[in-house]
Amino acid sequence: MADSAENGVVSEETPALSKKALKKQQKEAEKAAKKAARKKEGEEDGAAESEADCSEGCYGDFPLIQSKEKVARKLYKLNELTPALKDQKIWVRARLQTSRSKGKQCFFVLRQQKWTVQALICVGDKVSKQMVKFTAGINKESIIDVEAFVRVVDQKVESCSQQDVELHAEQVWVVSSASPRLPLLVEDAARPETAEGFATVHQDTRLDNRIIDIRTTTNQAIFRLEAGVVKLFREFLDQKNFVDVNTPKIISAASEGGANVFKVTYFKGEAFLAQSPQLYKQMCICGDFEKVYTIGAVFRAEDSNTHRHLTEFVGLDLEMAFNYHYHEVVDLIAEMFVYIFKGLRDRYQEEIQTINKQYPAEPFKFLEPSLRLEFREAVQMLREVGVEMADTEDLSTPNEKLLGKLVKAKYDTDFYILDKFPLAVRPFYTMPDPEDNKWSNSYDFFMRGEEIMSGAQRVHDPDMLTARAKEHGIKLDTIQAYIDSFRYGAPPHAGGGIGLERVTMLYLGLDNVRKTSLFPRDPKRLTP
Amino acid sequence: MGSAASLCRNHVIDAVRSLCQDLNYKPSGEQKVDTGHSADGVGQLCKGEKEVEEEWEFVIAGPSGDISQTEVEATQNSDLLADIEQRQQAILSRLNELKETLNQLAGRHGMSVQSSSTCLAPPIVRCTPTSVAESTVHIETVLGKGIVDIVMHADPNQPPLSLFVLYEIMKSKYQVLATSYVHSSVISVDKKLTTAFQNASASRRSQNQLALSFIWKKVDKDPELVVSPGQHIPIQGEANIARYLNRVMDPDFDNRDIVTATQVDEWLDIAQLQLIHGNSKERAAAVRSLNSRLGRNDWLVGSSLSLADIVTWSAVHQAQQADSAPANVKKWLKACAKDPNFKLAESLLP
Repeated sequence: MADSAENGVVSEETPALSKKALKKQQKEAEKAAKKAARKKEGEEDGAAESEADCSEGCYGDFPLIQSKEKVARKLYKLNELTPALKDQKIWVRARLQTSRSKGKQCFFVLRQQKWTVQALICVGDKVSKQMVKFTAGINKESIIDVEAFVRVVDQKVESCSQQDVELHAEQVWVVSSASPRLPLLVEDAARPETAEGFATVHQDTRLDNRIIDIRTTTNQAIFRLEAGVVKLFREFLDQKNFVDVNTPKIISAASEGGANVFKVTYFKGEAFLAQSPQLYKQMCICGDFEKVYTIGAVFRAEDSNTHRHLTEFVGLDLEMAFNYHYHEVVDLIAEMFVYIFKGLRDRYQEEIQTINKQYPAEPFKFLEPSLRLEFREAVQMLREVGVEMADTEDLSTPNEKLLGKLVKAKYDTDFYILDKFPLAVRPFYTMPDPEDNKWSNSYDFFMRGEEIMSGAQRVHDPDMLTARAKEHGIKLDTIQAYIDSFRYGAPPHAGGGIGLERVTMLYLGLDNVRKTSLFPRDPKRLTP
Repeated sequence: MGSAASLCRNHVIDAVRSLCQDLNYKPSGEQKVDTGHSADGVGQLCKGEKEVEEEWEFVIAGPSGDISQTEVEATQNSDLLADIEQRQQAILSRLNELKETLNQLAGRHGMSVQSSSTCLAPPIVRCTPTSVAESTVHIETVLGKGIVDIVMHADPNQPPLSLFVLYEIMKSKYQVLATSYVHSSVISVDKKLTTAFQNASASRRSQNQLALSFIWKKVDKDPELVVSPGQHIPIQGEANIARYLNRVMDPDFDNRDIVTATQVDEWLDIAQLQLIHGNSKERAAAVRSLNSRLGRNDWLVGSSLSLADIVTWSAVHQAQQADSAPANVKKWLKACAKDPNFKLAESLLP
C-alpha cells in the first residue's frame, strides 16, 4: 500500500514552474490530500492488516491550539540552530517551505522569517514509512512542530540560512495547515528576477497575495530594515532633543496648493487628507517646541503610476528653529542621514545581504560630512556634458538622474545635497536668498540620483509671506490661518520631510517603491 | 564691431580652414585662428595664412626633389606634378583673394592689419599636450564665473603629502575652499587628515574661486583626480595630480623653459615609479641618484624649490626612506621642511 500511494506525494520540485505547471501541481497537491485522507480511513479500518506503525503518536495533526494548557517546551528559533547545539534533541515551530521525498526518506526545508534550515526524516527505528509519507504530504506553507536532532553537516547547505546544521526529525505535527492551493510559491517569490529558466512571480501577483509574498526572507529583511530606518531616525533626533509630535491628518484646507489632495466627506461638509504635516510642524515651532519631528501617513492624490509614487506613504518630517543661518538645519539633517546610513551599514548588514541575494545592488556609498553642492554648480556640471538648460530652470527627472551619475563619477557618493535652488521653482513660503532673490534658501537631498527630501528655510515674517503669496497668485483668504500663525512672533526655522518607502528603496537600490511598502496604495490599487 | 563684420570674418576663417584641409595641413595654432574675435584676432588670422603658405611650399619642395631623381616614371610624375602645380596656383590665388577681402574688411571697419612679422607668436615648440593646455584654460575661464571643484580620491593610509604642499601654495593664489570627506568604504580616518584639509567658513561656497576636495577612501592603487567626469577619465597617481595642480596655478608652466619642465618631469617620474611604487632595490637606487644630485645642488631642479622637490619630498617620506636617507638627502629634506608651505604636510608625518 505504501508503494502505491507514493505517487500521491507532492511531486518532486521542478525548477521551472509556469502557471500551468503551478496549477497542475496544485491539483496534484489536492489529489495528494484526498489520497492521504482516504489512506487515513484505510488505516483506521485495516490497522491490523497493515504493518504496525511504530511511530504512532509521533506525527499527525496537532489539536487546535485553544490555549487549553501551558506546555513547558522550549521552541528554538531557527537562527539559534548552530553547531553549538550539535546532537541535541530540540523542538522547533516553523513553516514547511518545500519537501521532497525519495523512497524511504524525505528532505524538507523549514523557514522562519528570514531563516531557513534543512530537515530530514527517514525510515528507521522510531520513524515508520507512514510517518515519512505523512511528512511528505504536508501542504507547503503549513506551520509544523518538529522534534529533531541537530546534526552538523560535512558539506555546507548552500540554499539555507543555517548552513552548518540540519535537523533529523523524530516527531512532526501540523499546527496549522495551509490550503493545498497556493497563489504563489514562496520559493518562486524569493528568486532573483534575473534567474533564467526559473519561475518568478509577477509584481501584481505578489501584491494581490501580499501575506504570502512578505513571507520571503527578502521581504522579511526589507521590512526589518525599513523599521531600522525609522528607529535610527528617531534615535538621532531624540539625541538632539527633538520632540516627537503627532499632527492631524484630516484637515480643512489643502496644505500645499490644492491640486493633488484627497477630498473626503466630513459630516455635512468636506475635508481633506493631509498632504504634508508642514503647517502643523511650523505651528509647533511657533508654539516654542523648537525642534520637532513627526512620523505618519501622508496622502497625495497624484495620478502618477511610476516606480516611485504612492498615494499614501509614511512621512518622516522634521522642523527646527535655528539661530542665524539655515545651514544649521541642513547640516543637522545631513548628519542625521549619515547616522541612518551608518546605522544601516553596521547594524543591518545581515538584512542587506539577504536582500542583495534576490535584488543585487551596489552597496550604498556616502560621504561624511555629506557633499553639499550649489544648484548653479549642478547646472554647470550638466552643461559640461551638453545639457542645455537655463540658470533658473528646475531639474527635470532625466537631468536629475544624469546629475546623480555625474556626482557619483566625481565624488563617488550616492548621497548629496543640492543647495540654493532658484526661487521661482520653489513654493511661496520659501525664504529668498538674502543677496540675490533669483535664488532661495532651499535644498534638496538626493539618493542614487533621485530626490528624497525637499526643504527650505520658511518665511517667518507675515508681511513678507503675504507679499510672496501675492507674487505666486495665491488667494490670501485660503491661507490666512497660515499667515496669521506668524503674527505672534516666530523664530526663524527650516525643515524638510522624507518618504520612508522611497528612502528604503533607494538605500537598497530597489527598482520600485512598492517593494518597500507593505500594502502599497497607488492610483490603481486599494487592496489588500 | 558689427555682426556683419564678424560674419564676414567667419567666412574668411572657414575659407582658410578648408584650404588647410585641402593641403592636409593641420595648423598648430588652430585655436588662434578660432578666436579671431578682436583686432588682434584678425592679425593672427593673417599670420595663420602666412604659415599656411610657408608650410605649403615646404611640402611641395620635398616630392618635387624626389621626382627629379627618379625619372623612370617621369610621365606619370610629370602629370602629377602638373596637377599639383595647378592646385597650388589655384590655392595661391584664392589666398590672395582672401587677403584682399580681409584688407577691404579691415579698411571698412577702421582696423589695421598688422604685418605678419610682428604678429608671429613665439615660435618655440610647445611641449604641452593640448588636452592639458585646454583644461587649464578651461579652469581659468570658469574661475571667473563659478566655483570649480577639483576632487581627489586618496587612501587615508597613504596620504599624498605633496598635494597638501600644493594646496598651501594654491591658497596664496586663489581663494580656495578645502573640504575633506570620509567615504563609507572606510570606517575611520585619522582626525589629523580631515582637520588638516578643511577650511569651510561661514562664507558661502560660491564665493570661493576654487574648491579642492579630498575624499578619503579605499582606492585601488593610486590617488585619483576628477574635475569633470563627463569630459575626462580620472587622472591617476600623485605625481600626475601634482602636475595638474601645478598647471592650474601656473598655466604657462610649459611655455617658459622646456628644459626645466622636462627635468621636473623626470624627477616626478622617479618619485612616482621608483620611490612610491618601486621595490626596495629601485627605491635605494632612486635615493642614491637623489643624493648625488643634492651633493652638487641645493634643489633638484634649478636653484630654488620646485614641483620636483615637493613631490619627491613626499615620495621619500611615503617610501619610508627619510630616516635612513644619506646626508645630502637629509639636508635637503630639512631645507624643504623649513619652507612654510610644507608645514601642513609635515604635521601629517607619523
